[in-house]
Amino acid sequence: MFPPVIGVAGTAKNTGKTTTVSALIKQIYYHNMKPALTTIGFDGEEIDNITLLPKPKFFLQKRTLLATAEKCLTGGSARIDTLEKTGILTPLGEILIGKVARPGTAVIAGPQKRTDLEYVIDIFKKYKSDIILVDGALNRLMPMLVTHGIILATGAARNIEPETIAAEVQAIRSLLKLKKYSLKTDIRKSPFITCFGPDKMHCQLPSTSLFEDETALAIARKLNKGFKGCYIPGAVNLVQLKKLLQQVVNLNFGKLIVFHDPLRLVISGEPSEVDKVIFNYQEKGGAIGVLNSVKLIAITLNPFYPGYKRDKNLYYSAFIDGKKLKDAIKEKIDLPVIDIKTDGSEKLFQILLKMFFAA
Amino acid sequence: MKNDKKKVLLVPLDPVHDIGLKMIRKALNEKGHQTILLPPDSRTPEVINAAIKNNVDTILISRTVGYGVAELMGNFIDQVEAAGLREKVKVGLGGMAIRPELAAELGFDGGFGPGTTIEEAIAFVEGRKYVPDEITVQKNKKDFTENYSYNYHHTRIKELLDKIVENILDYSKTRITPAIKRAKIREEILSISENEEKELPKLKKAYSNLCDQKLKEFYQQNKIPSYLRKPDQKEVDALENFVKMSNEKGPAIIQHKDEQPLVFVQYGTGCPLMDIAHIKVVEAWGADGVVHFDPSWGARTEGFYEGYLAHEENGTVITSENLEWIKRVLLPGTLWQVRAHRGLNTPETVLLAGINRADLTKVNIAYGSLAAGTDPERLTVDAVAALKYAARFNLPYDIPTNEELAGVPAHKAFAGMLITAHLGLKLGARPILQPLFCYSPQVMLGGQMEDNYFDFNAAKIFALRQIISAPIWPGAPIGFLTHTEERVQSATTTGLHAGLAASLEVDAISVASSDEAYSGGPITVSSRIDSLQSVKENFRCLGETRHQTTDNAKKWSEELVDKIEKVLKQVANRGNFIDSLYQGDLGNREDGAYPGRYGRGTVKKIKG
Repeated sequence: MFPPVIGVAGTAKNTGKTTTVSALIKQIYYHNMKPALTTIGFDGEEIDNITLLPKPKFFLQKRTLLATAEKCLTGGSARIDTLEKTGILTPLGEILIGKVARPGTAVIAGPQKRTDLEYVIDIFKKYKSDIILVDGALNRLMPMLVTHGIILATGAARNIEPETIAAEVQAIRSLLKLKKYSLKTDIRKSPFITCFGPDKMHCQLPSTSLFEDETALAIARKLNKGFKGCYIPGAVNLVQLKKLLQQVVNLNFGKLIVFHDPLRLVISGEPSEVDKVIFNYQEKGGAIGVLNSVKLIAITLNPFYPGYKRDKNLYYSAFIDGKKLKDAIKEKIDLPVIDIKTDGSEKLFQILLKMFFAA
Repeated sequence: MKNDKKKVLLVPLDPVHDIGLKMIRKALNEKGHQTILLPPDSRTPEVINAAIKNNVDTILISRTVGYGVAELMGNFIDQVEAAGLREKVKVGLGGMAIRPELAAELGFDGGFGPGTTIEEAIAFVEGRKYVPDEITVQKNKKDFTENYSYNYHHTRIKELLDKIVENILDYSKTRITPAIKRAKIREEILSISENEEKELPKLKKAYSNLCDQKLKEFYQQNKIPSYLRKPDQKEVDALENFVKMSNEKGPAIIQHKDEQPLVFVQYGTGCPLMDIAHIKVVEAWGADGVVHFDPSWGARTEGFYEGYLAHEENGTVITSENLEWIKRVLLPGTLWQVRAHRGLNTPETVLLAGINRADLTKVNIAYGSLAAGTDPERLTVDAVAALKYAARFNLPYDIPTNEELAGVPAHKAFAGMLITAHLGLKLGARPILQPLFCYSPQVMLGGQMEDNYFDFNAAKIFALRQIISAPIWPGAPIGFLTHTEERVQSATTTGLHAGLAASLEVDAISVASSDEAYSGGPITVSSRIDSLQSVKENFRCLGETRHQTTDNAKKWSEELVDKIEKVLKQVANRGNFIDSLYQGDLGNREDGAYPGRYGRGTVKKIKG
């Protein structure tokens, strides 16, 4: 697990992802470590693409590695020397691996797909970075599968009610805590939904994802007829998930449904609702698990949200009570909850050190 | 055989607007690709299902992105990845607020904002690099004088002009000025070969002896005056980089129809570096030509400096090196005019323009001597030499009637213009007539523009066409004195006058930037673009239609022709063109015209 790959994912735009990453980078420099940095989106612009409010930038020191698109190389004041090309194309050009030669601000547009991110991480490892940070984008999660752990950034930009934010965080936490299962190779490697039974009973369905009612009912039928479990490798939609879980009966025998990873479930609908549906199923006696798990390291929160003046068609900076938000979240989960702006980032960095660098 | 036809899923997520996708669908189908157009406002699962079921290569989504919608798109991309499609399927997003940075943040392979062409979307689908039209736009220089016969339709006017021009030629045949001598020496200096280089100091000394004191000091003691400086290497390098970058973009076309007028923009910030930057910008926004403005003090000074020189006030210093530099950075299709219509250096200016391969020059004896300060006798004799250079270097020249701005009525200004035109024709040069489209003092007093700006300007064109078949290039700039400090108003009036010019089917127009009349300071690039965009829109709007004038236009044009004839008769009867200038036949004190003083007494009779 070396070097550790840490993702900072958000529940929405403006939840403080880049602020968290920026703060962690400063800690990394302070501790004389060499970071490698990229994003699955676009970071470092002066103003928000949509609200036109100012955004934080990265300030990078020498020897920091980064993966960014060609058109962004001269976007900041840092001078970046190109080490190699990746062949990965984005709307802003090819992704290049670079090293900061002269400190300054930087604009980063990184690999958007999971496989491209994996490729970039492999290159970072080659250059012996101490720690790799992956900044998220908006509410996008899927590429974060390749990380060793994620920090979830949330805040008022997602919802201005602290209780609602806290409930969502709790739901996401719960989903990310789903038990990890191992499956036989042929099931695990199949791109199609596979129902598996006692002994070597196998049945593949023609779909890869749980998007259609038909698929949900077909799986339920198989499970009710005697199959022990089912592996769903592709994407999931909450409506069909609900249908499936409601239709499965005779749960005395478990009826295990395995998904590729918990992130798929988080993105399948409102996390609180997804969690509820799964909880009900488990209460009934059913089992839900994942093939690959994702570690949730901590929560960072941001009380900022872009207020909107409808009559003027303008966005302005607004804030909810940060302490209230923190307390609401802390009440619901057993992980560190940090407001980078008021708590600083030292505590968060220490958690990372302990988790990944302790002997 | 590899199937390069794609299957494209078109997803209009905007509840209302799917016209963009429908047009893309049409184009894709025409190219043999298969398209599936979903109904508007489909949900993510429906879209992904359709993508999976149809085994598509590309998904194109059309959606206006506002707050909240971004998260929807982010979730969509996540679901595409979760469904295992992300590796195989290209996903593009188009809509009003989309830019590449936003597409990158949302995780899409391509982002298509306003101004995206259908061709760009097709290139994305086909996996080709899109080469925008601008880079492949070809702009070739147009010689808009070549289709004109210069035949006179008005015999009496022609006869009068013959008489007047004969007098001018006779007079100047036996006269010489310091400017004419300097031009000859300059030509020797510039055409010196390697083994003759030792003659250079002698030539430069001879040149400097014909110059004013400051220039003598420059040539003989290397003294550069305080208001001039040499650009440093850093500036030059930065500029070369900028030029290279802009040239990659290439020219733009501002006309909607081929026959609409060429658009000229004047530059002359004082600094050749700034000029070049402005030139590059206006080229990129569609200007067909640029006009060099030199400093007004240059017109009062005998002699030119040498070398690359920047200048702190308005007007860029004319030196052969500055001109050469500017020529080098122009795009191949950009026309370039260097003006020689006033001052004490007009022959040498045309010589330098010719040697540095300018496309046009500017000569006008009446304006230069009655409203721009140069002595009439001096300017007349110099103009003959200047026009000979113009003929020799094949430089058409326009004749601006800017004395109208001083208050000289149009018919007098046009009489002066026709004299300079006819003089050039006799010397083998090709004149271009430049009536002004302006709210002149004559019009302010006479009320011809109380109702509209079009009739009187149109009358000018009709009048000239009744007299001679010659190219017409209204200036200078069009709409002058109708502009206010308000940028939109300023750009609009320029654009509307451009529309009038197109309607009247003239050959070219000169336009000002929207802050030019009132800036009181440096002209900004953004205001240059204002005017060009306004002109472009007016051309677009007009197309093949034509403005309709009232009966006044015809009436005033006939009056103009009559009055022009009367003025020319007066000049011909006086028998001495230079006297006519001094005595006010072509514009007098009451009109606001004053014979210039610079260069007075410097014309000498050639001995023998």
